[in-house]
Amino acid sequence: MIGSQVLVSGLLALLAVLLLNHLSGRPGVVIRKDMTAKEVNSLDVSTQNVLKNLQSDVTVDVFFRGEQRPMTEIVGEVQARTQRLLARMEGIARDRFRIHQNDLRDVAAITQRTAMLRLRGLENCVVVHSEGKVEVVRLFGGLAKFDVGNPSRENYRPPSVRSFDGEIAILKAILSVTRGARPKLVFTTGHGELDPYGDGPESLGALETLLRTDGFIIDTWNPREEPDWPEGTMIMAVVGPTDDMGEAARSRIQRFVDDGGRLMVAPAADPNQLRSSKLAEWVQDFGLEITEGTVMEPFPDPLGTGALLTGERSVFFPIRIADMTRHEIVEPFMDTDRSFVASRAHGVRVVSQPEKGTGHSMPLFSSAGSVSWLDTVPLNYAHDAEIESIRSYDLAVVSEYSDLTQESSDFGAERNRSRILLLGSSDFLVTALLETTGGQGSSRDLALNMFNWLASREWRVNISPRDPDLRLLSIDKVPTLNRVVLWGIPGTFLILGLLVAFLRSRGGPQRV
Amino acid sequence: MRGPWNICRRELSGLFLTPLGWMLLVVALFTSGFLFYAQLVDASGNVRYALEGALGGGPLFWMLMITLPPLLCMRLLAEESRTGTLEYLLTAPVSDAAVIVGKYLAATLFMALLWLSVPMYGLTLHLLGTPPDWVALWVAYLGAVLVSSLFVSIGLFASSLTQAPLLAAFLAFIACTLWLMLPWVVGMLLSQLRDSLSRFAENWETADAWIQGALESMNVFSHFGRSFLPGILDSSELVFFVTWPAFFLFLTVRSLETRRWRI
Repeated sequence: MIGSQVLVSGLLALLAVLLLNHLSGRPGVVIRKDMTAKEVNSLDVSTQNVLKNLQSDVTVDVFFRGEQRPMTEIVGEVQARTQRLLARMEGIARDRFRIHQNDLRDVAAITQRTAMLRLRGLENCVVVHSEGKVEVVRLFGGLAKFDVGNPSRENYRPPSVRSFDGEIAILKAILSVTRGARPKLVFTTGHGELDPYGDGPESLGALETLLRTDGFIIDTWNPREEPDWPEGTMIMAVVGPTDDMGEAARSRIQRFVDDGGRLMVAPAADPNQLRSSKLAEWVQDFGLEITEGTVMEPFPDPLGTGALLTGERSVFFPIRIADMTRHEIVEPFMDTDRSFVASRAHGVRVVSQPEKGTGHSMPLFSSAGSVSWLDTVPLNYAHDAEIESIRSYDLAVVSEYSDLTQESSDFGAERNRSRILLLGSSDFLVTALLETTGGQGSSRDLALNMFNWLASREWRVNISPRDPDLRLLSIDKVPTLNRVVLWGIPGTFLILGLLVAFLRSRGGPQRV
Repeated sequence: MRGPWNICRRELSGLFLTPLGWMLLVVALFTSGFLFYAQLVDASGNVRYALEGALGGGPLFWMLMITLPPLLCMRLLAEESRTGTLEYLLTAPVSDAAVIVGKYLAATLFMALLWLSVPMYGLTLHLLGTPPDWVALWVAYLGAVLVSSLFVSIGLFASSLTQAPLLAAFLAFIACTLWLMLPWVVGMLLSQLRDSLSRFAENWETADAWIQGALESMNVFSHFGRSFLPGILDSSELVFFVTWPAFFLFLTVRSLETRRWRI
């Protein structure tokens, strides 16, 4: 009787423990806090959004093996960190995300797996695949960038991890294998616009490559030669025109936007070209305004060009977090406390909210209110206090509206909301700025985010590689550490133990 | 509340007034220090890697984890039962639960003191000019203490089952090892038998996934490795490391009660 009571109570307690553990692990119940100084275990908000919204099953095959000295430890650390990252991704995506560990010593299993993936030579990499699409992310250069160090005795420098890029690399691979219909982006041509296929620093070549790699279909359209825009166009980009497009072309683009199309407008930075393109008059139809002058700040030129500087006055300056408006495009920058460089730009402004249907327009980011001014035409790159007031100037605005009078749209229900992005200048998109090494590629991230927002792919946003947060003890301090750790700490306790034994033998402290 | 605390103080005094406690501490600190030093040199001075190795990332941590709690716990109940002092304790004006909780707290605090060596390594590194990520280190330390508390509770339960201290230690060692290794052993066994079993059972894949899931939910390595060790506080992992020791303490109390009934 007593035995069965104990058994029953034990079983009930076991059930309670199992139930509690089950319930505490349910999504929505779990509270998780990354306590590391640089949040090295946390996934970016944008990565989480992608994982939560996966439309197809994704499997990640891990092919890791140890490296020889002196890379053994740092490669091991990157591998361990990647495994933790994948486990975290699996935890967020739940049923849509699977991890398949491969033991490279099991030749038969590896052969079978690589045959299934139709790949060869898989070592120290992860393979992301979904519904037949496969992306390989290599450990070296993909998951992390390494510094192999200097083995010479005189200038010894241990190998180290320069940056851990696992999150962004795996995220990009996931986006690549799961991307659905590819949005079509059309650049207008024929009015002096910047060349999307050019390879010079003032062209859009880098942008075209960037967007194509991210799944956009890129095309061009010359309204003077073809009356209709290419079939399936989702986004139209008018970047840096120097000539007037003409009323007919403008009204066609207006119709495109009103019908749920997306529009990127980036005027030429040169005030004369802006005037001749008549873009400023055109965007007034959307309730937006472009000023002729150029926004300036007294900061050194981060690009080091020096070409447009007078003293310390600069037309290239960092955009601070405080000068960004919370919007899908710049949110990743705000969340990760990152800045990006503003190019020489006209001031832009929301004059009135959209009149058609329902919607709103808002500034995206601005210059610093306490230091910037709008240099009036003719530009002299100097602050004329009498006519140029020091205040904040918007450098990009977004507008979004849907025309409720429209019964249907060419673009389907998902895309029938018009979106316009007006940039202060086309310089934000040129190769020279996108390929700037400073700012951890933030200009590229900004460009991608802008076009992905226009394509209604807010979840396809970009993030920068994380700081590896490496803390290395200098080799010359190791002997001191040796003395403390190996002898000092155990030795102290040994002496304390002997002291207690001695005192007890002398009739000291007795057991309580 | 005073009952468990008084018992805890009594047990801690007992531990530190006998050579066993000091010997265990010195040996464990020396081996842990050696491992930390070796890993730091091996990792070209990578502080995080070495600290993680000393606090859960290395095999020595787990070896200490399955050997120390059984050795500590064998004398807490089994030896007291053998020498007859347990009967005095159980007739004292404290409840059985207070006795068990007090002994559990004492053993856990002893383990906490042992793992305190790792923040001391951190302090040494800090003084040498390479500060570790302190918050993450304390989170990992908290995890190590919680893992210790789980194995202490298992050790205490084993100690309540027998009057022979060595048998209690052996039982606890086997139980702790099984708890640690079971997911790995069963996983390996399943991978060996997967082909044969899938021929016999149509829904084997579902059953396989369920078993893997169940085993994973009991995997202490995973629970510790994916939360505390890298510096993450996770409510579900906290629940795991609180409820399972509570369960074993409950069993220990019941085990003591049956002993009282037998008397």
